[in-house]
Amino acid sequence: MNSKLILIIDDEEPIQKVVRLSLKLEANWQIICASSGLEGIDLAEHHHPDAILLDVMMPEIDGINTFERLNKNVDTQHIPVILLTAKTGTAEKRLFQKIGVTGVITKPFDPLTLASQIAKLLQWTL
Amino acid sequence: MKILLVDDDNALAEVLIQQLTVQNYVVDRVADGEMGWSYASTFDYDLIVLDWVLPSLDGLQLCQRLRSGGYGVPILLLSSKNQQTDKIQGLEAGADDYLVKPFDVKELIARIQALVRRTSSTEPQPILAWGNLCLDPISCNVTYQGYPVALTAKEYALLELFLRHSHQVFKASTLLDQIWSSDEFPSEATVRSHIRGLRRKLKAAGITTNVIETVRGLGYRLGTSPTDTPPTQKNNALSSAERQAQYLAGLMQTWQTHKGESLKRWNYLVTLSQTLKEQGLNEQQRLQAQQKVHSLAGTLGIFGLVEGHRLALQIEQLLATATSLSPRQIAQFQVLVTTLGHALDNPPQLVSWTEGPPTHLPKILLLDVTGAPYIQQLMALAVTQGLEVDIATSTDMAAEILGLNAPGDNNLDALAELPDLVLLNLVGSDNALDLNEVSLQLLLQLMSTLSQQWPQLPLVLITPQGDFGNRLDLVRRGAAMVLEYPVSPAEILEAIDQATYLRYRHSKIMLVDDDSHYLDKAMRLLKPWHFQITPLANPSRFWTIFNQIMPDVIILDIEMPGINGFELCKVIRSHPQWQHLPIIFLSIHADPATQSQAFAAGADDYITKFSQEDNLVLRILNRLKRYHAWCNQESALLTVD
Repeated sequence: MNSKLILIIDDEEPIQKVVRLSLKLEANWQIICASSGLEGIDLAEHHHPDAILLDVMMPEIDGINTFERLNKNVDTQHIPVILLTAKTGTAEKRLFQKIGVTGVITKPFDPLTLASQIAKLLQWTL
Repeated sequence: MKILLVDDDNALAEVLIQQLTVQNYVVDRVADGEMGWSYASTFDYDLIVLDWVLPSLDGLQLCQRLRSGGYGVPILLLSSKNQQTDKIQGLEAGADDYLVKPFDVKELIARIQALVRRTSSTEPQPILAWGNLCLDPISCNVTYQGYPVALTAKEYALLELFLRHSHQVFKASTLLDQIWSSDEFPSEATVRSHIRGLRRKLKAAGITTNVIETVRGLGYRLGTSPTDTPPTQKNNALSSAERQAQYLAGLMQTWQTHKGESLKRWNYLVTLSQTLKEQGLNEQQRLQAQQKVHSLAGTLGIFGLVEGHRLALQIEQLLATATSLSPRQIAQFQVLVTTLGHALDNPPQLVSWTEGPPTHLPKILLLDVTGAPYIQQLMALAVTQGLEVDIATSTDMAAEILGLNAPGDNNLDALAELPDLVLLNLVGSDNALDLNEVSLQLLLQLMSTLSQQWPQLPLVLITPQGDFGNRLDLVRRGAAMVLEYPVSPAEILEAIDQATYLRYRHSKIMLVDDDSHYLDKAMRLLKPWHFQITPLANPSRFWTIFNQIMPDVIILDIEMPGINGFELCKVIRSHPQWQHLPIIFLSIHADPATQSQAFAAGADDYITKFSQEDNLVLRILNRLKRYHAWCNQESALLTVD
């Protein structure tokens, strides 16, 4: 398959690095990273990634707010968004479903199959 | 790693062999150039250390001869010739490195390691990994889930070889060539013995999957790692083992860079625990703390610091409850934070989180009225090992938690809320080991009440007096295990593990009775213990079902249509492999003659319906305990080819 470009939006730099490492090793995807929702929206507008991995709990504008802004933006609304979150309670699941994200991956994730999980959610073939 | 040392200096060779062996290299040594040529042409080596000045054929000539024949193994040339032209001549002859005598052996070893790394891979891969099993060729350390695994030099060399060649099947004779030096004269039985030893140690370290597989008729190879994904067409460039190794190396590097941030968050929690104790938290502080510890939990989880991740989640949970914590919760908070600090020292590891969390955390109620320091240490260790510990600081508090204030309320729902074990501290403090009389009497009274109301609940005691008389008194009051102080926290946890029946949860129990009403009743009775119960009302299907589920315990009624319980019991016992399987009869017949008949058929126990059912669970657990002990012994014996 063609190499994909993935945008990671997470305020935790070590998590960005580990996700990058996982996706590189498993699928050799290209990765760009943003440390805040606003920076992420900016990168998404300019680079049009194939998918966005979005952390939920971030300072300033959180993941849900970031998703809503991406969704209203004509340049980014077509990009599938997968939430990376430790929050998996029933209420949260219902909220994520309601706002229309493509998928949710629970943190901590299995590092050796992260790309497979993303590909499965997006119906990509690895 | 196997090295050929060609040097005629016996004293130097002796030192080098000793030092290289310590570094887990296997060394063949010869003293002249012609012998060096014979050995290099006959055996496989990973590196040759070659002296320049040698009898019969000098090192330079040998090097040229080897290279002209296409010999690709790295060669390190040793010489007392220290002119630049000598070095150039040596390297032009085909040596990969040149070291001038006299030299520091440490430098030689470092250069050997560098040469091996350079030739074994295009990229440095310092850590060899197989799931959570890691071998660091630089430090020669082997760890599983971050804990060291002690191996002999040969076991280490075997493991390293398998990890470096994860898809290769090695014949025993190849292993002999690779791992053993030529003057050791080992046989293939030696290889088998070392493989067995290695497997045993890896199993003892907690690895349940077979790391080294036997390929019948061919030899041995590295097994499939538990974290390996099924083979797909993706990313063929890297094998799973290579990916794991690279991932782990990257993870360690990233952790080293960012560990400081996690330590800062931990320091914040230390300060917070003091604030909590002194003045409590306002809502803003609580939310901020919750967010910080949440992020910390996420980071630690990503790095595979499982224990730290779990502790941070527990702290987050505590903070989520309320702004003001009870004294008990504050004490728990402090223990969690302290333990978390230690957990941050663990190395990152590869964790397959999709395997899911442990099914059940043992829940312990610790009754301690003294607040002794060793109890705090015990708490910290217990939390580290995954136990959920609730502390009662008075007998009243314990009675409330255990539902002893409502004696009639011993129904099954209440049973489900109970801890898995009660640990009772009867030791005063280091200054006065004996508790004061009033406290002691209250505790002893609580014990008696507890054992009457919840006879199944294991009660472990720590006492300053473990003599026979005192022990007898405590056992009479319901103690399942009595530990005499001083006893280390680790020993206490070991006792807890032995005394709880948690390990027997999910044991498979086959219940054969043609009375479906009684089957329902027995199922209800056993439900709180989380056994996997297979009820069977039709004994004619017994053998089919039995072979499908392979139960851990069988409970048989006697009178059933077609085949009676005695006959079923005899059929089971007629198979040599089922001689130890626990069989318990559960019958309405209370007469000694019927009971004798059951034991003669091969029963282990006999319980009378309606009158002895209270003992059913205990008797099942007793049987399971002994059966598991026997199975463990057997499986230890079976860890051979």
